[in-house]
Amino acid sequence: MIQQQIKYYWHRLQLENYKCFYLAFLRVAISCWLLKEVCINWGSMDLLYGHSGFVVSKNNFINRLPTGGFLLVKNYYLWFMATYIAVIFLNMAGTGRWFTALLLFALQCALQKMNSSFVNGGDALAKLILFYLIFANSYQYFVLCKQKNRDNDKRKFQNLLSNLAALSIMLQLCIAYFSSGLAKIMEPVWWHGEATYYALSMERYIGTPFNKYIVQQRWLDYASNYGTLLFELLFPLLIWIKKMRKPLLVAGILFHVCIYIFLMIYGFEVIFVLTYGLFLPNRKMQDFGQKMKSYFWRNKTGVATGLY
Amino acid sequence: MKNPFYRILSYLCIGTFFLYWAGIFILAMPSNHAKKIIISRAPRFRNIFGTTWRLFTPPSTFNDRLYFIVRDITRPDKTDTIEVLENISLQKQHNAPFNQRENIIDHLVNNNVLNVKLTIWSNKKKPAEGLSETKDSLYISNAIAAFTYNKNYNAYLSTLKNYAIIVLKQRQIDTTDKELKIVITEKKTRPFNQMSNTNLLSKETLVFETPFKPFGQ
Repeated sequence: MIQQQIKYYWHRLQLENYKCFYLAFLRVAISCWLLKEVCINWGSMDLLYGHSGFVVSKNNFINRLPTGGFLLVKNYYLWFMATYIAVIFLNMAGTGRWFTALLLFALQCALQKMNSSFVNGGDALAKLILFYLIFANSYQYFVLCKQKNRDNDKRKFQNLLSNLAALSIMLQLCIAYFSSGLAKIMEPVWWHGEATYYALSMERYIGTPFNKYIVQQRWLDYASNYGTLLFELLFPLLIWIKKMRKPLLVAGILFHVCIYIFLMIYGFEVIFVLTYGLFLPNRKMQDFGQKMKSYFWRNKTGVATGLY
Repeated sequence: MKNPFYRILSYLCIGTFFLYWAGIFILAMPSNHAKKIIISRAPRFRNIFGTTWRLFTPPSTFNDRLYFIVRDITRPDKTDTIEVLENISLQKQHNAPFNQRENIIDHLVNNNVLNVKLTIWSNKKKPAEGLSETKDSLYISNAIAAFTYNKNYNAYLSTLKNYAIIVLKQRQIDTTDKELKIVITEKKTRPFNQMSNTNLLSKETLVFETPFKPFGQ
């Protein structure tokens, strides 16, 4: 019986790349997000990586570089950034495929080590997604050149890798929520329903002038506190049940939008929400993409067309 | 799969997948024996993949304050005191959502403030959290002495000193023949059960202070 089950799943994992459309979308979206981060940090690049920086870096592999460690980085960080941007564009276009994905992951790791004081949860999740995308075949859509036909065994193996990579991104999101929820319920301040009051009162995170009025509403403090706990603990368990998926994803988007607005935590939220699409069926995402493409194509040319 | 090469590779992938996720799951869980083994045996695995997701666990019940106190070496009675963290937060709030520069400075300064506090108070509960047996300022000076040769601690402190120089330059305060003292305090947020009590004064607790030292030392 168990053997049959294993055989069944083994066969299923190789049969098809179940998330081919959204994996391709995620590759492009993550690349766009990385580019956006570069653009908004561009004015502060010298402060982050160059000679205007005031952060004394901790000991890491950059210090052990034979040619001067952080001094080398400070002198040539613009060359590094130029390479990084070029690799992001290559990854976006699907050029170089797995090699480019691997290179982008390595560059992202190096960039985070160049100034580890500025790394947040969004950067950490983006790095992990880039790692999983190395193994995924995300090149069936949104690429400059389509892949040629491969032999059957190779295709099956790539399907297996892609499905495991997509599953890994989903599991990563679940682990992030669950471990965060678990850590929260061990804290008395979360247990007593006071945590969001303190979070929204922290000067560093007061995102709107309304925060000070919102925190005065006890019922809202309790609702947001216990709502957060419930969401973070239940999402990883219930998201695998088909009927619960949509309400949970909507709740998740609302949850992250609230953090984005009221706590001024920006990049972090976008990355989390971007992974949500993997929980939806590939067919639905493809249809949605098709509709969007036809809509924009019609607006542009006056002709509706089926693409892909 | 008919090709034995792909078949073996597939088995290897599945095996690695399960091992990897077992490791990640153990690292994500609260303190346990298996986690300690992974951390000690595979620190790189933990550094690259074992991210901890603990935003606001717990949320601070205070706001940090970072003071740069500058005085003339020859005239020690003449001092300038500058608090920086409140100002950074206010600028960040004022420019939201287009506050990336303020956000960067906020991260760079606050991360180092937090790390200094974590290093100094790693062996003892902070005064804000519990009763202290030793006098706090005495504990702080002893802790600073204990960490004098700690590379990470020195990196955090040097970062704060470098930032002090930038702030003083912005305020056109000359640093020649001057000495600097860095003070970190925690200003309590109004407690939850007294949120509407506007008369309540927030208590400020000292958590870190250096002795005066000339710039460049």
